[in-house]
Amino acid sequence: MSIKNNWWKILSVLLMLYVLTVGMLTPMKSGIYGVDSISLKASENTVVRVEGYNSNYDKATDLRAWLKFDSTHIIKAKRISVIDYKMADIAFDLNVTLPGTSEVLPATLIIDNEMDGYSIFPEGLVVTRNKMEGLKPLVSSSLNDLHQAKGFKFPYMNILHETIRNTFFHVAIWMAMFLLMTIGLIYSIMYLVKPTLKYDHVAYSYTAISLVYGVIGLATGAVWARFSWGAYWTNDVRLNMAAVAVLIYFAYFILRGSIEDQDKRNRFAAAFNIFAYLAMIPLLLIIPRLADSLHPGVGGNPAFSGEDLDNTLRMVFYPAIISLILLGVWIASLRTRIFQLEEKHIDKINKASFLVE
Amino acid sequence: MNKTYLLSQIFQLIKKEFLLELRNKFALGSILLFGVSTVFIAFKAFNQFSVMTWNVMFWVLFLFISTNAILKSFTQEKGSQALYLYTLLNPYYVIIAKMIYNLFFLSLVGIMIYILFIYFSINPVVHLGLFILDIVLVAYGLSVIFSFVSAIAAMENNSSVLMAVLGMPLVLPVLLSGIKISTIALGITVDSELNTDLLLLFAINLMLTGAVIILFPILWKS
Repeated sequence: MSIKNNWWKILSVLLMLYVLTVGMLTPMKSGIYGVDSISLKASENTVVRVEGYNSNYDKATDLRAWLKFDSTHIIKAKRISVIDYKMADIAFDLNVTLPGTSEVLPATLIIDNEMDGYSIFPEGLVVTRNKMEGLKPLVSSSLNDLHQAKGFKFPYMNILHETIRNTFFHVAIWMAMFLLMTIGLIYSIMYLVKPTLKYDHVAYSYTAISLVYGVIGLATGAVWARFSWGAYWTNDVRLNMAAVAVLIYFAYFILRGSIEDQDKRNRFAAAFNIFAYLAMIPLLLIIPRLADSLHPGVGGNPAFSGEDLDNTLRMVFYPAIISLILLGVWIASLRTRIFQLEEKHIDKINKASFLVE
Repeated sequence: MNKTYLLSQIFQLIKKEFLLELRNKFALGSILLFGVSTVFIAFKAFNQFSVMTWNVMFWVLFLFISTNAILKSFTQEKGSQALYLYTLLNPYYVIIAKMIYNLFFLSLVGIMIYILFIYFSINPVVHLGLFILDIVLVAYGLSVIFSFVSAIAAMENNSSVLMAVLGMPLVLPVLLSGIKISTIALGITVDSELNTDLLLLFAINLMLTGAVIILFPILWKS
């Protein structure tokens, strides 16, 4: 075994170790975990108790807070009383003319200090308008010189919290699965064009490992759904279509197992693999996009692409994909070699089993 | 090979299927009996259908009855008969003829189940044209998938089990789109994206048809 030919195996393991350590140990940026009550009544002294996450309210010197209605209506807090490192009471003077005419207004809470950087509670609060006469005009303050969080940290997102780390496993494993499945498909087509036993073995190996990836993808997704949606499995169209796709691929293995004649089995399996791949495309890529779904990337929900994927996440996410693909290729090549060895020593194996009997 | 020859050969094959079906009265009767008895059981079990259960029961029964109806599509030609057809015909014509015949047959089965449902319970369909179109589109999808799967399953002994295992996951996208459209036809939901749904169902069917036509000669060789 030479390093020259097997460097990618070492790379895959190193990358996976990197993903596990950096992905799991990097701290989160400071954020706002929750407030005592999301509905505020506008008055001269509206107080909201904030619970921070990974925050240093007690140690920070320059602690500021704003309530933002839209880009031209921003109210600065008049008083902040810190209780401990993660608890603070923030008081606003809301006896002012609020924008618009509706009874209740959504508002975004922003907290900033020099130690944690700024953190946002997006549209998390609802302010009920004060209908009293003689309100002061609103003096909007600007959100300038906000602090940036220091060091290498993952972004904090409400609802997701720490589970944002699952991006490296759940999203990456589905992407790797698609690629491995496509390699399996290509070998199935090659088998039908030129029936060589090796092509069938390779197609089988890649399809098998991508099915394992699919099951892991469902499992990691279930864990994520438990923490962000509240249940391991929901009626969501994306989830159910993914499960059906995995079932179709299970049928591929049942088909292989149920046909005795080797030549016929390989041919049917290759044909079914192509058919299953074509049936999977609408399941995973088209139908979920047209239906309503909670899943990111579907029905107008933000996904981990473009601007939603923070640069710090990207530094772990891309290595995770590469590592999972390389690991998959490695496992598939091992499975293929087992086939080849079985092929080579088939006589010996038969003889041995005869002797045992 | 000219075009008229192609069409006439396909037409002859479809005619052969029809003749076989009519000659073998036992098969046709068994499908009819299966349909009547399952609808009757469903009716007796529920006593009173709500529109939603009507919809669900209709598609579930349609799925199971069509599985049984198509299963024989390749099993009835065994041994010498299959060999005779194999030497005589181009596999493309065989599968196209099978699919067209199965489409007709399943559409009829669907409409038969619909009439049985009206007879035993209620007729909640608001947009009849859309509902019939939905039945035909789903019948098209089922006939394509089950023709392919039954060609595989026919080679094995316990073909009905293999057919159910291979076919059920594959028909799910077709069936789910069909159920979504039928909820609109029954007036349960109002959907502005009806055209997209219909087009999607048709596109899935068309794609699978292409795949089956390309892949069938490989299965036919054995």
